[in-house]
Amino acid sequence: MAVRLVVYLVLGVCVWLPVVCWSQTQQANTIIIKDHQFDPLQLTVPAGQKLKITVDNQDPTDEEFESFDLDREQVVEGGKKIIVYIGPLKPGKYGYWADYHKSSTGTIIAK
Amino acid sequence: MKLRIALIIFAFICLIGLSCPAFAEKEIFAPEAEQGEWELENTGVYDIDPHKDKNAVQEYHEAVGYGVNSFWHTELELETETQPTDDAITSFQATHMEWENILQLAPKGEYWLDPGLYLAYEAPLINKQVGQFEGKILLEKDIEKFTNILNISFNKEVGGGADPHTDGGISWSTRYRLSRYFEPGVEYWNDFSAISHQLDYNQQSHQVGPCFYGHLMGHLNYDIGYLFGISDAAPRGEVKWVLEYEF
Repeated sequence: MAVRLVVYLVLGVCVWLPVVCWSQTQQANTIIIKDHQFDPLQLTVPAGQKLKITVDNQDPTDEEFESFDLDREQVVEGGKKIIVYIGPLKPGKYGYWADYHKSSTGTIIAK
Repeated sequence: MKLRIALIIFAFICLIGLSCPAFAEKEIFAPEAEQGEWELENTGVYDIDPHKDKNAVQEYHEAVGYGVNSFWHTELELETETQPTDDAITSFQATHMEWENILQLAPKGEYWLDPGLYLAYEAPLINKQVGQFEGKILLEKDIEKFTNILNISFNKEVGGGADPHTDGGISWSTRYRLSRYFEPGVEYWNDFSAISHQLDYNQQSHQVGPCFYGHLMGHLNYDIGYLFGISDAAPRGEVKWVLEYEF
């Protein structure tokens, strides 16, 4: 019984771990712009690694992803996506904002 | 994508045959193009030197630029300059109309070094002047809060009376991203003149000095510096600035 339970647990982990990791990776590397707001407002990423972040503008209007901390400034057209390459980052907080709607801000946290 | 490839091929063809007398303007270019952005730009230099023939030399550029897409920025520019005359009264005139292009060859941060190309043609506005092609290889590397940019330049005069030699130079900028409004840095400028001549150090122009960069009032970028001449060919001092209004 105990052996069967362990087997089920191992199988469960083997099945779910890649799914969980994959979904976390996808979520962690995407920033959505909708109604001129960033989602998520805080994005946690691993420190010390080169990262590829997708910025998905779901609004019909253009937006600019800008960050002084990350030294990035890229326009993302309405309804389109761009890739922003960042890092490797030291542990810390890195702010960014939507340059065409400056009230929209977000933070990347490198851990 | 086809447009990008065509532009890169055009860029390399232009770079191969390049030549010119001095740097067209005192601005170090990052390999970046910002899609949909317009800019109005004023660039200038003012030389200070005890020798009459090198003192009070001034050069100004007034430009309108536009980011056509995420990898091509184009700019139209009017160049005016003053040259000291025998009676110490400077003549001031529009000398060239210039078409500049910056090609960003890869998204920023994708590779270890960010690459780009700068291509320009200066058309003379005065009969005695000649036109010139200018090409630069633009390289940028961010190291934590330091931004380092290297421009390698090639210039070639064209038209009747043009110098047959190709000139070259190097300019380097390192700045510390202290705040969005104020970034202290240092620039080094070298104009080694005709590449084939291999002039002595003092016959080449070498300048180095502090520069300050930043962003003000939402739309204004500034780049102001003072360069000390560190070779005989360079003026003893030079004030340089770039003011840019983005919208």
